[in-house]
Amino acid sequence: MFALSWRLQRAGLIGMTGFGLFYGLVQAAAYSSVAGSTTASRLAFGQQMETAGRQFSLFLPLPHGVETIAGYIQWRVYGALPLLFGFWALMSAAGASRGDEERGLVEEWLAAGVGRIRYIVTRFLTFALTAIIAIALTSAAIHLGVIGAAGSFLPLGPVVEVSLALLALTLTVHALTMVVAQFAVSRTAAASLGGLVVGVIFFINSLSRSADGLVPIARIVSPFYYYDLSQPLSPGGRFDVAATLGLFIASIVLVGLTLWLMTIRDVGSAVIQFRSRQHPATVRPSPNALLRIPVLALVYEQRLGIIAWGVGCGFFAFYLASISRQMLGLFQGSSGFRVYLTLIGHGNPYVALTGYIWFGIFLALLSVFAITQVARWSADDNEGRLEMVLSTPVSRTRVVLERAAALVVRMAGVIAITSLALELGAASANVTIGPGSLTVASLLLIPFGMSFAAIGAVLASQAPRAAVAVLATYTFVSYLLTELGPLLKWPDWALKLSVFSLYGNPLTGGVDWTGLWIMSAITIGGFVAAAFLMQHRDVGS
Amino acid sequence: MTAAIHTRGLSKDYGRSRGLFDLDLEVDEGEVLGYLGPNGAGKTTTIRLLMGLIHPTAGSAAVFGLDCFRQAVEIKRHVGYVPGELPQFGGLRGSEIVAYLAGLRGGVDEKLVAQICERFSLDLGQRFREYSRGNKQKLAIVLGFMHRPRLLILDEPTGGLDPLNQQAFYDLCRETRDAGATVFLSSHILSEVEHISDHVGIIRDGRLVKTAKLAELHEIRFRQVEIQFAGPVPESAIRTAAGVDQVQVRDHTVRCVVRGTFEPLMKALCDSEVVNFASHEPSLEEVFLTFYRGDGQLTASDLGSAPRSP
Repeated sequence: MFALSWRLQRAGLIGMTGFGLFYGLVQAAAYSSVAGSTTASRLAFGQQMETAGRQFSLFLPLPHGVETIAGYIQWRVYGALPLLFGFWALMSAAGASRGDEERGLVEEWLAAGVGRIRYIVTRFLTFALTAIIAIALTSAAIHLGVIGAAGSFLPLGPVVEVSLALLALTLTVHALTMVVAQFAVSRTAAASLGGLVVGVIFFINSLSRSADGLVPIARIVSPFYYYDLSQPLSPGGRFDVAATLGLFIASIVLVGLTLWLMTIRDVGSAVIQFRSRQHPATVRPSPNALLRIPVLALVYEQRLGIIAWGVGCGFFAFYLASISRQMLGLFQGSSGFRVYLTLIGHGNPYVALTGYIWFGIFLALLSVFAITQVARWSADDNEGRLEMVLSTPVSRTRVVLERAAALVVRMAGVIAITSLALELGAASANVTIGPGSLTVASLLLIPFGMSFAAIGAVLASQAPRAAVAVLATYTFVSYLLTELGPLLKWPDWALKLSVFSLYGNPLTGGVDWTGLWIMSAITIGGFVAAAFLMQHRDVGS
Repeated sequence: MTAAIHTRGLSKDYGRSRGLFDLDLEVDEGEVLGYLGPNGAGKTTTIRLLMGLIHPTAGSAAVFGLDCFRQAVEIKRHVGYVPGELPQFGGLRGSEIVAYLAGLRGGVDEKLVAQICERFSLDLGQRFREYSRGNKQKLAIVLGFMHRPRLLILDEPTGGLDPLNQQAFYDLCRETRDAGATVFLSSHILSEVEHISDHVGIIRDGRLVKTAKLAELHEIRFRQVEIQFAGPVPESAIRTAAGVDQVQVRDHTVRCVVRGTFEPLMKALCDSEVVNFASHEPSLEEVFLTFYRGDGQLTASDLGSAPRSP
């Protein structure tokens, strides 16, 4: 069983290690390239970063001592890795707890005499082992990257300490998701519910960085808070042994809770079973007309997912817009940044801030949304659903085009809900976002998201099993390009390789027509290529 | 008349001698072909090629004269497909799945859907994830038959069905055949094929080793015979009798295999007092195993079991 569990984790291990290696190396290189080599230049860099870093406090800890490479790595790398490893832990736990059941593996194991305790413990330990390897390799790569790029050494002890903290957090998120998954009935539901819970506790901690009132809540519910307490690489920072140990203990307790929940529930069911609405027996096909209309049938099937994405993003957009005035206060100390926001906001810095922060976040969320859709396309192929569709008089080209059209509708739904929430949030803060510019900014999100989907469609048509991993890598690299490119003063054409840079800042800066044409070309070209590739491949292979 | 299925040198090479090789097959309209083979023999590969889901490495395949890949969409209008296992449809209800695929297909007779569901006691109101394996297979049958296809391609369709529902399925197949449809039934269950097939094709290691009418297949069957004598065994007469093989003598008992008619053996026995004579006709399974294990020739291991008394 351990061997099989190990195999199931293998792809995750390779992917995470690859991400970690890349991210660590790039950040080390970025520091040495941008911070300069003199003490004065590094001090200036540190001050700039500390000001700019406040913008990212929703995702990264507040920066301290980033004039040193160790401090920079602590903030920029080990501050971001919890997101990455947390997402991996979440998806892995959803797969281990509900994916295995969906595939009948749990039944097989239980029938073979494997106890539930052994099953859960083995799955957890296997994940722990892969996490140890991935984190160790990532830290080693960061260490080597710093030596190679900056010519200096990171202190070994603090590297080990921060790696231990990261491991503790990763295991806690994994164990927490396993607990949450006991309340779901499918892998998708487990991932969604787990994502919601982990997202909430992540953002509670993130917001507590700037809102002291949230600290007591973060202290109670958020493992990310305890991870943040350890910043051993920062100058003057320390490794919080108690916090890290507490996370390890929490993960063990959560595994114990998972075990208990699993013993009290039926295999294939959730702990709490809601009696499904009594549905009359029937021998007739559903009269629902939507199911018979090509594109709308696909949209209808994912209606709950669309609503969940729309409400989740909408809530976030509302919140950010509603606190835009307070957030601007955070930047009062940086008059340059305030002037900059006023300029790009055509006199309204609040609008600029909303566009700058919210749309920056939403682009990332929308790219993840596109990846989830591509994952469905891949699953359709791998699990035989595409085969069933193609057993009807439907061409492969139509399949690709329907997927694209359905995604446009879904994406438009999510964007519409979110933009409405943004407008309402802004109104509640007495900030007026011009409906025209918001509409333009919202409409431009569709070619942005569809660009990722088009790349994913090509991958799903050619190599469905690898599509998600490759697209996620591209998205991640794309995001890094946008973040690092300006820092490293990369040429404009290199920045344009990132789809993120093509969106521009339409809320305040109008339409970036070049970007729009490129995104449109990627979208159309991608889906045409996907349709072509789909013709020439074997389904299910 | 155009053949319902026609393949010439159809091959799909997955490497390491896996796949399907040089398949020449012709199934006439209105015929029921039982396509027999063990797991991994190439049955599903054949079906996937006929459905245009995978590309052949060599050769060609046509359904109703239409190329299986280039004219796949047109072919699907006339084909009903029942896979061995349905894919995940998650939270959709059976009725929604039928509606969705009926929407893609068009021309579905809702009354027929209702009839088939009633016949198999299938409630379309349930969610797919709540269905048992058998109910999922019933749903697959509904989806395959709901548009009155001219050709049914069935890939091990009775997996998970209880005997009563299996019988209902055979009845449905027979009725469909009687209505003029062609059936391509892939199976490794020989009794299933015996129930409804006119012809049988046996596939082994990716190669079609035999096609015959079901009756012909019975003719090449051998019989296992056990004879008990009151006195000495006329061993030399038995061994020299035409069609008699694998003779084993123990005390007053002889075991042997007889092909063709019994007449030479009976002549060999005419001067001896026989106290018991038992003849066992091997099942189609044993015939099938003969083709599967060897090259069509009987082997001692195939014939080693003792015949049963009538």
